[in-house]
Amino acid sequence: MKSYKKLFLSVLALTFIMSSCDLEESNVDPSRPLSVNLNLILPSTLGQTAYNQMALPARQPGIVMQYLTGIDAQQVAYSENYLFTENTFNNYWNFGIYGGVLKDGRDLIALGTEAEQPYYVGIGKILMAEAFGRLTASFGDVPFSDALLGTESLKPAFDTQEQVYDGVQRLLDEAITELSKAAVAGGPAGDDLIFSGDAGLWIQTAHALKARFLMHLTKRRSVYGTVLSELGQAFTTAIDEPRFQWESAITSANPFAKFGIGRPNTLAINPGFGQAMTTRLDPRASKYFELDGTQYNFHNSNNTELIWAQNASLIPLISLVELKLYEAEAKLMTGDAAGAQTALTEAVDASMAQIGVSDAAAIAAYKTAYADLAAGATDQDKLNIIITEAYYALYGHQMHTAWTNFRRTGFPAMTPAANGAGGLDPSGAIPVRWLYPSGEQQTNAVNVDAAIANQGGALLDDNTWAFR
Amino acid sequence: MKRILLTSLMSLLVCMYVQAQDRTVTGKVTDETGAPLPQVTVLLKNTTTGTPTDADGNYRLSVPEDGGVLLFRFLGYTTQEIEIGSKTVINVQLAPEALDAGEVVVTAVGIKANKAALGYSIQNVNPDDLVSAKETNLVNALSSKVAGVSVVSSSGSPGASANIRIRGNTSINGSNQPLFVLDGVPIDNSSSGNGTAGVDNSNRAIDINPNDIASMTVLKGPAATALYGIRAANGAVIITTKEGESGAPRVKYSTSATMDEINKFPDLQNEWSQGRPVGGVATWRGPETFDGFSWGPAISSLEYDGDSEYLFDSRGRLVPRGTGNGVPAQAFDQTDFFRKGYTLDNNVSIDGGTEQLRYFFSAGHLFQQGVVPNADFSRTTVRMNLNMNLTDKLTMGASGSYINSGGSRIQRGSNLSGVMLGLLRNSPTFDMGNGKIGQAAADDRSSYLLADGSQRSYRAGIYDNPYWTVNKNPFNDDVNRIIGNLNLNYKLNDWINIMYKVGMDKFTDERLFAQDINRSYNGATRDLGSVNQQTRTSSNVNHDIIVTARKSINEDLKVNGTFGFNYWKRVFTTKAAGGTTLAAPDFYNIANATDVVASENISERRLSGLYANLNFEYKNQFFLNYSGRNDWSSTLPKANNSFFYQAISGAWTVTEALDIDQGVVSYAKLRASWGQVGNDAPLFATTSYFNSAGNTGDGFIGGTGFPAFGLNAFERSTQLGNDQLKPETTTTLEFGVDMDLFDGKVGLDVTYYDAETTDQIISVQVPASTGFTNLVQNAGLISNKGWEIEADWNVMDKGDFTWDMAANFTKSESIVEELAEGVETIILSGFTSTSSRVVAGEPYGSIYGSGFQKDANGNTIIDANGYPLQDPVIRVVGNPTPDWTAGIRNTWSYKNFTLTALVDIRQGGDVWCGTCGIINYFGTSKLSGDLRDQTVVFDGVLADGSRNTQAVPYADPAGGLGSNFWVRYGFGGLSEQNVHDGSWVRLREVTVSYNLPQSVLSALKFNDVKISASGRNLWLNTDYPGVDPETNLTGASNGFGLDYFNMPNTRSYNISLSVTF
Repeated sequence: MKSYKKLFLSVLALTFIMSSCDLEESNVDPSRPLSVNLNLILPSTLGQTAYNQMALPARQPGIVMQYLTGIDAQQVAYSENYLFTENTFNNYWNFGIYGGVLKDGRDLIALGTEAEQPYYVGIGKILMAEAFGRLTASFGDVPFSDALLGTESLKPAFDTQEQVYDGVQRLLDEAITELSKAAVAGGPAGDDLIFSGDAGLWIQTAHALKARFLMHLTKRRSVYGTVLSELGQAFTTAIDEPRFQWESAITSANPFAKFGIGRPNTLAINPGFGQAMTTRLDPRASKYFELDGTQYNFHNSNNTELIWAQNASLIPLISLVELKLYEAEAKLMTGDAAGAQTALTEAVDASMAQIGVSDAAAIAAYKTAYADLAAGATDQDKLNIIITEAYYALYGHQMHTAWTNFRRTGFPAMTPAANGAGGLDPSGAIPVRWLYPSGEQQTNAVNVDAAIANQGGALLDDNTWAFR
Repeated sequence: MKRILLTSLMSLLVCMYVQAQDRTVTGKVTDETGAPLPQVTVLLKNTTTGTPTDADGNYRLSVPEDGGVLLFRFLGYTTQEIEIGSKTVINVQLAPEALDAGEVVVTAVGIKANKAALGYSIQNVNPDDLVSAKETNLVNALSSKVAGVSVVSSSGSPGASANIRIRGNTSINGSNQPLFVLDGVPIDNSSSGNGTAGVDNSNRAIDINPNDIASMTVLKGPAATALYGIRAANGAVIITTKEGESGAPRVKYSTSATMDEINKFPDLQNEWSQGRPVGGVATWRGPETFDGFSWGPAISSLEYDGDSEYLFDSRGRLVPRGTGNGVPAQAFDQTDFFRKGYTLDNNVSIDGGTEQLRYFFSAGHLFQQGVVPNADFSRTTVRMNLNMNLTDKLTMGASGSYINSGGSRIQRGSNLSGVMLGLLRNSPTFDMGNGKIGQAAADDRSSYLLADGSQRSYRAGIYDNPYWTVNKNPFNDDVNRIIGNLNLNYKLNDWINIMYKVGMDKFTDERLFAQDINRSYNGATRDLGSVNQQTRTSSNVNHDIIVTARKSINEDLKVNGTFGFNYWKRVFTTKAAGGTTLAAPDFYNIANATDVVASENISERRLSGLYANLNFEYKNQFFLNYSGRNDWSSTLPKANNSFFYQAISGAWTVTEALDIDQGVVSYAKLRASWGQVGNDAPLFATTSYFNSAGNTGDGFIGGTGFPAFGLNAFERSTQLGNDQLKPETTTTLEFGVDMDLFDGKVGLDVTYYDAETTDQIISVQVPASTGFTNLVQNAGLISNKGWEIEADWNVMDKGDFTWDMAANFTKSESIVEELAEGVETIILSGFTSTSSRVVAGEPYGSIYGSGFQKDANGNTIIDANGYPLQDPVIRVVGNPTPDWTAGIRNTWSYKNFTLTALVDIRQGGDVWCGTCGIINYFGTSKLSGDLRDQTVVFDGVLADGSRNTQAVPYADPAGGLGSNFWVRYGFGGLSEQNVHDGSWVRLREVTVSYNLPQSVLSALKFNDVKISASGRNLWLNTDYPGVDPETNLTGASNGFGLDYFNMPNTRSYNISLSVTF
């Protein structure tokens, strides 16, 4: 009997002891760290920037600019009815930009400043500038100075688009300053998937981005002089482009290819684009798409010619082709006609080289027909030639920039979709911006409403400040 | 200790052999009126020698020469012990158990109580009803049996989960499931992997074998559950398993066979062919064009061209009548895909023992073959319960059960590989089975494969042919589970009892699923293939120390108290390996993958609590109960991880006060209770972490997952932790009346409750422009109000014929009064287009999505072209909570026959039929088939306010696809177009059973033989156009009311036999 009592009491005691252990240690997740080093954050920031360039934020301008057309599922509604709703870009805004590149960029800057690693700070600022620039071009007024402050500002106010573009230029200038400092041990190296830590190349990229975002403002300011000076400090050979190498494994493959695999037969090349390239005898046609019966397809797993739709494509974040086209336009609009022609010819050559076209005769014929500024009577006609060439050169890797070009110049002229008019696009015009995402609208309603009022509306056909 | 155990076991074994008997004792057992009592257990004390009395109450037993003690035991009567001495005839009159008679319920922590003495709502479920429901999942067996309990099955697939709610939803991010307690030990009823795509995974209560259950009690409000702490914040289902009764071994064997078929399926058209308008004319386009639509020409206008080389149909392509070989085109019935399902369930149990040691052993095996080819589920359970009297003060119980369950599950939902998606979008002119149907087609590879190994489907591989899915996208799970407990009970003296109980529930769930390489006939790769292994383990250990004291202070006042300490720890781990890009087809092993990514997740949770419960009974008329509990939780911030809550309830038996026990109102008790219960935070909510990096933001394709590009990367989580969190608190006020009317012929139990949950721990969405998307906060208020009525009526009792009716009625409302400041909605489940959400000011789980623009008077606004305008703002479009539900059971018995029927009624409760919207979009639905050549004047007003009078076509080919009414609003149409009323009336169960008469039983030497035939879900009356409206896409989740290619439900026909000897 006594042995039972002892057993009983010892069990009771054991239970009390076990439970008085510190409960809180159960609430620490052993599979996630509480802080990490800079070299573990950078790859994700670069990866997200590259992802944004080839995923939804590229396909939608691609549809708007009639490179692509929807043939099934939701893509049909995007192409034929311009149904770009307030849900379409929720994921992009939340996880691609603010919760993606900008969040990581801020960490790079904060941790980099604390650890006195100027190159991480510089690269972080460049990537943030690129993201903000792309964001404001599509959405107009967005949170900038009041953003990314966590609990300090849970309802960020919206800056005007003008303020954001100025902020972008400032960030790039600061980045250049940081990258011009002396190198410090422990700086970016293998984790820098683009330049392996070469600060000089990053500086050139920063200048290139400055040129691009200045060019967004051609309707509002006279920027061409500054643009040319920036281009003079940017990269001049294709090999110095900031290029991102995707992989063949499906989890780290080029998003444009992933769409072709995961959502087959929902998106195809717009027949107008396909026919135009064919009529123009554009030597790049076979590298952009393939003809299957009557349908032009942008993707086919077995066709390795389609350079922008391979799993392991090499995508430049900003290319020499784009810079040369800016140079041509800037020189044209500042009176240097000869310089403009040279730049245009170089642009075409760079594009053909980038795409991998080697047929010299075809290239020459193409240049004669479509890259000769003499064919344009007025400056506007000549500009049309440059922007149209940009349209055909930027397919696949910079469709967003082609959209920006259209909004600020009106070239190349195109007809809106027949059934585009609706609640989201009352006039049925080609969309010139996106609606503010519902996530931001529901959680930050006051500021979003203020921004919409400030811009006189934010439906698909309401022009943002830069393109009015 | 060991020696006594060993001796008991030895004596048990020895006693099982028939001993040399010396003499015989006979006699007759009667009740207090002198009527004979059959089936009374007559036992020789401390042996296993015993016998039941016959139909006349007589018994005959062989006893040793030196006599002994005879025990007479019968349920509801006081056991008697009689010294044999030298007597040869012993007659006994048994008296019914006084005062403590009445319904016995099992309350919190396994304490039995008399329902008459309780001040709160508590309901028993008859375990026979659970077995006769013939449901594989125990949760489904509870359907429409208890007021206030709502059960929604996710679908009819074998092993599918079911959602159980007691008194509505109280939590937004936390669990709303009640606690399941088995023999006093909380067990796991989780489910995982029920998403908008994938398969129907089980909830773990499916492992419990209904045949093992001795009693089940449902506890509903905080007053009832305060003793179980925060895990029972949403109620508790208390289950006890069978205990052995002393005596000779009793064997019970039961077997049952069920046939299943689909009970409801969406209506499809069989008039129009695959294709779309081309140049303004409806044109047939075959699978080789990858066309998904069925907006082609009428099938009656087409015939085959006889080209036997045509890849997709040996009959040839379809061409206009007169240009082919004369064989008319035909429509194929897609429901030919399904086969007859069946379930086989065999159970055997043995129990017996002596006064010292009683045992109960059971084993069961269930196998269910689903109506979808290759779908199945099986479960094997083995249980051993031992109860030992170690000394006259110390008793010990030990129980262990092992379960193995799992099955082959089929893809469903929003899933290009899902069976329902592939089947319902399939064009009527495409022969899915290539000449065969059902299991025969599933077994013949030529139905889903072309000669070169690419897929044969109506869209040439873009959507999987259902025969492909069931063969090439396997999903298998195998669960091994052990549930056991050990308890020691020590009677300190005649009024204090000390109990220690330790329980364990441990399971391992191994899942293997794969998608095979999928190519189209033109070489395009649709899916590179993937293989996934997942091993989930869960380990729950629970300790309880409980001291109970019962004392009669004087002849009027009785007090009993319970004081306890509880400690619970749960560890849950997931190890997964996912391989992508397979090298070879038909090889579902991780070795076949080119790129493999592995991951591991561990989570741990601990709770400890101290509680007290006091009960006062005065003059058997006034009852008062008070309970208080303090919990410490590991998921709350350390500085604030302790919280205290209490409950108080009272009851007054009016009839006792007025000294009434017969007449119109023979018993009436008024009761009222108030209680609080807390709920702790989700795991890891108090800190901010870095996650393995992932680059996403598309919505149509997956993102980049690190490690990638030869590097590893992490990024800050977008969820901000909060170290100031407090627990959620639910406060409930409950009033009720229990009555017996007309001399006990009618029983009525009415309850009204009003509950409020505050300080919801919600992951509040914050603007992403802050750099975070979620912040965990205490915010929000949810109110739950409702009525619960249970009634039973002994309609007729004439001689051999009785007719009883029992009914339950539930009306409940769950309103989200407030959310956090500036937060209007939080998504619970679903898609960006249509979802189930909590919306401030609206019922919990409201269906939220797109709709038509309406003017101030609620008229739809029609545009200049004659079609309704889409509202650019998304909003609430439906309420999935029913207005009320009821269950009515009728039981008729005549001599040895019994017929019982259960009717289940639900009024209200919207369901979003996403499936309907999509099959309208693709033109395969009967609705789109019947209406497509019609015109319509949409009811509404124009922009200027005048009534619309313009007639427009639904789907004129001349306008192209974009003008088609079911295509123009986007993929699947507007959410509002597809929200339908899910009300139903159904005949849930019908059972006819026959117990063999005593005369036959005595001849066969069996104790009981019962044969029964039953039907489940035999009749369903509803206006809902899709599958059975009792469905939920995401299984046992907080969001509900969504149907998007859910698997259909089934009706069943069953026969069973059970034998006891």
